[in-house]
Amino acid sequence: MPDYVADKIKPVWKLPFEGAWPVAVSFADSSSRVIAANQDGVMVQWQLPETPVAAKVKDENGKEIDGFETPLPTRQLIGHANTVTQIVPSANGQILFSASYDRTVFAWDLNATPSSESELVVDRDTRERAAKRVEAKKRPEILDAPGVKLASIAPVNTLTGHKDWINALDLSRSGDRLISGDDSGLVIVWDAKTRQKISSWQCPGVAWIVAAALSPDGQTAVISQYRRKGGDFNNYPAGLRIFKVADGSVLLDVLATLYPKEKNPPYQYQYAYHEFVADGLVALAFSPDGKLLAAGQGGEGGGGKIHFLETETGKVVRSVTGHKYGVTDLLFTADGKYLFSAGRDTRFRITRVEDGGEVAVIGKERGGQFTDWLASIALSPDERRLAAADISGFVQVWDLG
Amino acid sequence: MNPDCPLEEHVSRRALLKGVLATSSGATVANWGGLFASPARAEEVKQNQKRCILLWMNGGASQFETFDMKIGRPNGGPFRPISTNVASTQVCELLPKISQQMDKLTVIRSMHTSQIDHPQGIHLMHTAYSEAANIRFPEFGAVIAKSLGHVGSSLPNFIKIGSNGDSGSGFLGPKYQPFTMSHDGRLPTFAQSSLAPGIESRRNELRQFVEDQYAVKHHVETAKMHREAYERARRLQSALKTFKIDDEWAKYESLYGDSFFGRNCLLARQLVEAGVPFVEIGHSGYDTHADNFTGHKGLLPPMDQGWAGLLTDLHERGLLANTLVVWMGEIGRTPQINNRAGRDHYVRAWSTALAGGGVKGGYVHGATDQDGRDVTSGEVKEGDFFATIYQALGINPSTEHFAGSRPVPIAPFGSKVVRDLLV
Amino acid sequence: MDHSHRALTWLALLAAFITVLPPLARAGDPPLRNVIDTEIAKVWSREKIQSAGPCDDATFLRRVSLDLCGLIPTHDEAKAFLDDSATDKRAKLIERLLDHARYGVHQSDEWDMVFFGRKPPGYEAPHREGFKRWLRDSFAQNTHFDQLARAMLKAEGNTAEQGAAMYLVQYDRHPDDAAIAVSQTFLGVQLQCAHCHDHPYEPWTQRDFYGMAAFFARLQMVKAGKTKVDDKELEKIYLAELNTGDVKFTGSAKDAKPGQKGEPVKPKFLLASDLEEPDLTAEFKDEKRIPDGSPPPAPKFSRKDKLAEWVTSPQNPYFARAVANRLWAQFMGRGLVHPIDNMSASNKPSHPELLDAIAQELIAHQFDVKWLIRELVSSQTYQLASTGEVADAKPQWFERARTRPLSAEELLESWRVATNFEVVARRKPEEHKGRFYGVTFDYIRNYFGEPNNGVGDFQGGLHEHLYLNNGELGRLMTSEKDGLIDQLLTSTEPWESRVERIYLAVLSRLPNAAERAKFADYCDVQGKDSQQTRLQEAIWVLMTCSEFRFNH
Repeated sequence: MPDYVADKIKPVWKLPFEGAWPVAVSFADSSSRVIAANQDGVMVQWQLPETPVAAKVKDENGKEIDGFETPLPTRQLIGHANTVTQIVPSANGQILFSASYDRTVFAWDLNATPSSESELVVDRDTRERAAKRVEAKKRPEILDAPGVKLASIAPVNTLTGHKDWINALDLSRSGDRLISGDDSGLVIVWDAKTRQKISSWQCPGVAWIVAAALSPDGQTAVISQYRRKGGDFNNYPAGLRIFKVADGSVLLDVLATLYPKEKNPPYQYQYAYHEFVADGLVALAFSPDGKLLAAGQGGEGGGGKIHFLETETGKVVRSVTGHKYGVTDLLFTADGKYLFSAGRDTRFRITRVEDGGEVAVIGKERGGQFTDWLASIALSPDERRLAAADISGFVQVWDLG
Repeated sequence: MNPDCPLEEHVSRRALLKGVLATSSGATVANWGGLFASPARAEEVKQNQKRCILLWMNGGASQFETFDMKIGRPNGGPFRPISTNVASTQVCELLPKISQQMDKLTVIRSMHTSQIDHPQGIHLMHTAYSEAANIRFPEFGAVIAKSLGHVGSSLPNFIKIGSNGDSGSGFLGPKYQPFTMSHDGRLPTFAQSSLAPGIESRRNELRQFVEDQYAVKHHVETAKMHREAYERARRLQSALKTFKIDDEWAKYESLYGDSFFGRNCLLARQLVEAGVPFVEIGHSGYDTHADNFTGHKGLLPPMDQGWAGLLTDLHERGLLANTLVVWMGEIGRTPQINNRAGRDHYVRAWSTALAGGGVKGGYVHGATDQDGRDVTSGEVKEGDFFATIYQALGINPSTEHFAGSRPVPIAPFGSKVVRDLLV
Repeated sequence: MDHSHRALTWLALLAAFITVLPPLARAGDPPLRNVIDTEIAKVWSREKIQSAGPCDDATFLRRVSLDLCGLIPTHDEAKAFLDDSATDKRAKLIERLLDHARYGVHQSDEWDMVFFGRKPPGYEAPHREGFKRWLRDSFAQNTHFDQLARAMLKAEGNTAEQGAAMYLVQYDRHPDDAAIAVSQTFLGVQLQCAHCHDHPYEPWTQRDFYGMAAFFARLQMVKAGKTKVDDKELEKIYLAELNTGDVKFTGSAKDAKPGQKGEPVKPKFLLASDLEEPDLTAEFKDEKRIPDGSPPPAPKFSRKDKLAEWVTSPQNPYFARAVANRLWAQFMGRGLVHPIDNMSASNKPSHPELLDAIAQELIAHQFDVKWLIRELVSSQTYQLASTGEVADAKPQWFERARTRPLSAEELLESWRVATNFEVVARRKPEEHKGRFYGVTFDYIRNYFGEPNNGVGDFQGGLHEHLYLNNGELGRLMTSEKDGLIDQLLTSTEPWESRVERIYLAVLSRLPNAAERAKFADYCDVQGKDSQQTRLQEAIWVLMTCSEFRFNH
């Protein structure tokens, strides 16, 4: 794999997906197929050209600049009724799994014959802005103009059993196991091929499952729990534990190891909060060899640290700072040399795993005192393209050089 | 007892004082009991005495994530409505327990108040007035303590548990200062004696001698009040058990839920049952400028259970008819969602809820437009809100108290009682 | 506005206030103290009231020490005063206390409560060390009251170094609040009803209210760096005045509509003429806010200075009477007009001739505060006993002395004197030299700071007793050298004599026979440790009882 160099990384497209915030994104089987979903549960697929077609495009200020023709979505994946939190492709990229606040995990066959046609407005915000500039009677013309015609598909499987919002979904690197976790603390591990339950367990306490990751072999799972602390819970609102998938037993309680309870009762996790958990470790990733675990602080309060931990012992190898606010997503490259992270500072970062060194910081902070989020990122199978779900209403696609 | 006949005609102030004085040397039972010859009579008064519990959502709970959902609208948020035990009324899925108490609730969806920031809003929604440099307004807890409290009670008449607002009794004076407990149920500093009982009583005996010496020649009311307040402080020592819920907790944990808020709801029930006219419980963390949805998802369930548990328990004990339970914060939250997934401060249209004593159950008052930007009917200003609370408690909202020589009505001049929501 | 009608109203009001105009003070007239006693006694006979008779020396000593200096006398002072057989010892005591270093401290504590109150919510009001220092020095130097008021209303200098400007700074951007406070404090007039509607039974209208508010409409705060006052870093805030800007009047509040702009209102002296002022609108078109950073320039024409001159003028119909009434109330427990800040035609004085006489003499003495206080506390009226059958703590006909609660400062500092902790603390390191060292003043302020309800009557608060019973008083009853406990434990005198010492130290009087016996019996136990415990309990009893809690 070639290395990444900051100044070789270029923006290619801003794929419009306006309305509710786009919050989940993934590539499928190639760097040409991108799927994204928003907070309303709308899920679409774009077919991108191998080579971008040069064209004049408008920049943020409406000025014409050199760019590329913007592809429109071609397919809609109809099924979710609420925020889609994760989209995970199968090993060969032909199947996608998605999780949602609607308490379901769907499996989608991207090659399925479309069942119907749908129409989707992907530029709602642009239309509303344009409508404001014209006289009232001309507004409907802009607002009610036809949307994009899409071939739509339905899920091939519905993975049921969850009782609350599902924030956590991950596929083992081996490709045969899928893990999902919800806000009630329920974890389910699925056979990725048969989509049957392998095992299931309940995590302790009242905290939600905010992230989960399966080890490369799918035998162990790391679960991060957190609950927005209201100031007066008697129960501990965070957890970071490694479980044995076979029986749901705890192999390692990372927070308990790092911050032994005896030290400062009765507020055991006070220090853990300040230093380690912050506003929740909302992003988790196993290194491809399974030896390292990356955990990113989410929310707004923690300063967006990324911790690298030894899976075996829970020992913190290093903590890397950089994101201005919380981290939203983490990805290791297949060779394990780099970690990609996205955050609430409208940026993604590439970190060298070996020493925590900064390789590249890409994107501009956008917003006021608080910045727009890149809610999620995905790497193409060849790791030369990156897609990012940008809450301001589009999917960014970058050429990584 | 004739229900039309007010309590005070049966039990005069003098009688109340006497009742307490008779018990002041012995083990005093809370605010009732010792006053009355028969337990049945005490029970009768207890059932008819109005009182109020305030559940204070500090920071301002979101109306969109509770009682005024805007489903399908661009800023409606990710939560879904659930049906309640009142046909055609829905509430947010974060309030499953309260949804089954809707028949006891009046929801006001049409609050429109005047202070958009926390300190000013906390002042406004505790006193009915905006802050002014020349006057210190009393909180409505103090007003209710003055109106409904017992002069000779062993327990304080205004108790605040882990809540906000520091206006206290304002110009009503120290007699109505709140007795302030922390959110984990700790008593205020200096509430408990650390002396051995033997020393305490011999010291007290000497003190009594000194007071008697002074009283021979000095007959002023002032010194008498000082002595009475001292006796109250002493009696409180024997009533401190009313502040403990540990023995009861195992029995009630599943009803109120394992949270400080749930525990404090049980404590509040215990206190109003013992005759305390006003108890306020705070629940903090609602100022969700960032992550409004996860914020409310974390905060509301324990609050929901504590609140619903309180209503259930009060109802089962026959206390709800005379106990007004007020649910509110200082502000509402914006219809727009900002780029932090948060909602900011908003006071043009927001929600509060009332239950029990004097108000209708299963009733929704007022409405807002499709995005919740403005009140479209039944507007309730802060003054109207407080006037209605006072009316529900049988206190004339135009009652005036004096700040120096300045008369100040308990609800601002021109406030209107919202009669539609009263029984 | 019909000016002739207005002028008539004003004259009628003046006539209503000043029913009998006594001649101005001349040499040879009886001193004011005698006028006081004559006028008070006159009403006793009219009302057929028996007075309580003069108080004893011990009562007088404690009362006047607290009223003038905010402290009880020490054991030695009490003993010396009681042993003194001179006939003029009360007069000499008064002179000594008026010259005492504590006089300024205590009077400024008292008046700070008038100008700010215990927990002032106003702008920067919690940081008024500069103002307090200025007020303390002003009383210590006996700055006459008209000068004092003028300094506050003209607000020259900054809040930190000069201090007086803090008074108006607290009403930053609230000319309406300033109008209410100034009228109430310096003129004894309650204007706030007229904020929203014409006053229902007083002559002032909404126009009067806005006319007064207009004097403050152009004020603006200017911050000009920081400085240290009493070791505290303070912002130097100046009160600048612009040349343009008006308050807007929208009519009766109940008729107010959204979006209404309102009519600009010109300044108008309360129930008197409009202010004559130059029109500077053309010259200062588009006048900008004055930037922070340096002291602001003076305006070409100052409205507030005109108001300050008018308020404090000897010709002002309200000012002298308001000041006279307030000072009377401070020492006699209630105003000749009660409540003190409601001096309207519908609220007549209890002793109209006396109020007029004090006001006239105060004018004749150029508002000399110390002179008036001397006359007040030298009167037989002040020196009456507080004992007797009547239960009212503030007797309307002044037939006995009032009973007032000690302020938070008086209470804590008097505990320090009673236990001799004040002497013990002198040996402590520099950071412990403060007035309130020993216990936590924040608690004292919270529990004892406002012992009154809204109309000035004492209320027994639960919290103050919880503090007294379970609080920090033990810290003052130290067994360290020179403390009262130490003196008592090391004494070889019989217990009866030691009880005498306790009573003189704490209650500034000798015990009666029953008290002597009771306390001697209580403290006479075997072993120093037991004795110490008993002494602490005995002193605690005396420091928490009604006799200590009040000035009577």
